[in-house]
Amino acid sequence: MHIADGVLSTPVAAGTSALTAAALLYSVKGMSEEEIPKTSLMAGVFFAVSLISIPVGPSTIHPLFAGLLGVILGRRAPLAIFVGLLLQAVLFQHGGLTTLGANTLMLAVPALFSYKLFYSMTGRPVFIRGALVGGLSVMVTVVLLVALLFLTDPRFGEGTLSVINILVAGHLPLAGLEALVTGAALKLIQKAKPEMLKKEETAAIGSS
Amino acid sequence: MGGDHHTHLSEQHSSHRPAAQPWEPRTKLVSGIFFVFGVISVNDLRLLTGALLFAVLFALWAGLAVRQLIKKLLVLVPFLALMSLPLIFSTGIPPAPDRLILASLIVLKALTAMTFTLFVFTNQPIEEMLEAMEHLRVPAVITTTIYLAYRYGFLFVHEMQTTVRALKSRLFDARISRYSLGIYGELSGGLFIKSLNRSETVYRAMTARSFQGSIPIGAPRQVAAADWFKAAIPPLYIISLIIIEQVVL
Repeated sequence: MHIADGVLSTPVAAGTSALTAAALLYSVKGMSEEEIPKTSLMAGVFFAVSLISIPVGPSTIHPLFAGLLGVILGRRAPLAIFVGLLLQAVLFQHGGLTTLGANTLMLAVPALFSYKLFYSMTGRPVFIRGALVGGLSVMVTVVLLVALLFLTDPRFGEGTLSVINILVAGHLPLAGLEALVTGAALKLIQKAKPEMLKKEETAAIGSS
Repeated sequence: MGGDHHTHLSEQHSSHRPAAQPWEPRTKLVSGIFFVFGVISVNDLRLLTGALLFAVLFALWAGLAVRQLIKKLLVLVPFLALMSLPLIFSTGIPPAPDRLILASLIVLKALTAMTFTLFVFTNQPIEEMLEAMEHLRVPAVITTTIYLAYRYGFLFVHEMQTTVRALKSRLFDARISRYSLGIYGELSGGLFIKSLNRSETVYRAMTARSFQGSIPIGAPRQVAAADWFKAAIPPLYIISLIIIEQVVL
């Protein structure tokens, strides 16, 4: 879900932009030369895979990949997410400049959370851990989205068929979908390129 | 999909040099961002309509064709419908006037901000914009990441499309199921693996060309009086709208 320009109030848009600037500074701190192409190309893939459309009924949905990107990139994930979303806003009109901060934050927070959670559960199957962080990352995104809409205007939450109720209902199947896709993606990565996962993870795989 | 956009933008750059193109990119970028943030601060429908007309005129002056502008703005329709229709009808029919106004404000702000964003970015090569960002003290690591992601992003879009086509030619059922989601997961995971492999090659190629963490850029172009003048118009216009709203209306 991309929030378009105009949906958020000025204080919310400015506040989330400032928070994203701080997240970017945290993300780029101590970044080595070698990490720049890696993060850039991951941002390129994040940009590309967001164009995957999975048919659901009369419409299509696409995975968010915040959890997957968080597990692979760790603290560099906010930078890759910001870059991917900037390109989507400028090239495909998905999102907008004033909501770039909010959209980045909605994915960067679950990405960092996924990184911590995934590597705190070593010893369990990668698919299970991947599915867990994939599903939870969507839920964290939805919670942040709801909070931003409420902060902007409580009318977004009024009525049975309110914007917030529809968004929450629409994201529930996405959480299940994201869980399976992230689990499958991380399982493949573990098999084909285990060094993409953190070093201690690779060591654990090697010793098991 | 993505590839079409890429070609389209490239063609746009090479086919003509519209009036706004020689605009010095730093002033254009700052002026554009100021205007876009200013637009979301206006909460009067008449003033926002004026801002939208202003943005459309700028976009057309910059060389964007009317058809192209409409095509790009139509992308916003599903996002805006999802936000505005429940907002209007969620408390019953007939809708409350304040809800109609809020939904109209969202639509007008979104269209105006995106039209001006298109003006800022569509007729300016991305390299110039990134150089401008770097001259504006945006860290080189961020501009370099944007540049490389832009260069390689379309390559991955192409690879993804090729894989999806190959899957479909093997009678892959794209509809949601445990099996198809596993395939989508492996497709995504595979792309991430390919990107890591490619990033290693890219890094080696770049270090061979003396890459030290940033792509070298030239000295900033001098800001001419005409650039200052052009850059002042959008911020002054939006400030005047905000003042009118706060003081007069």
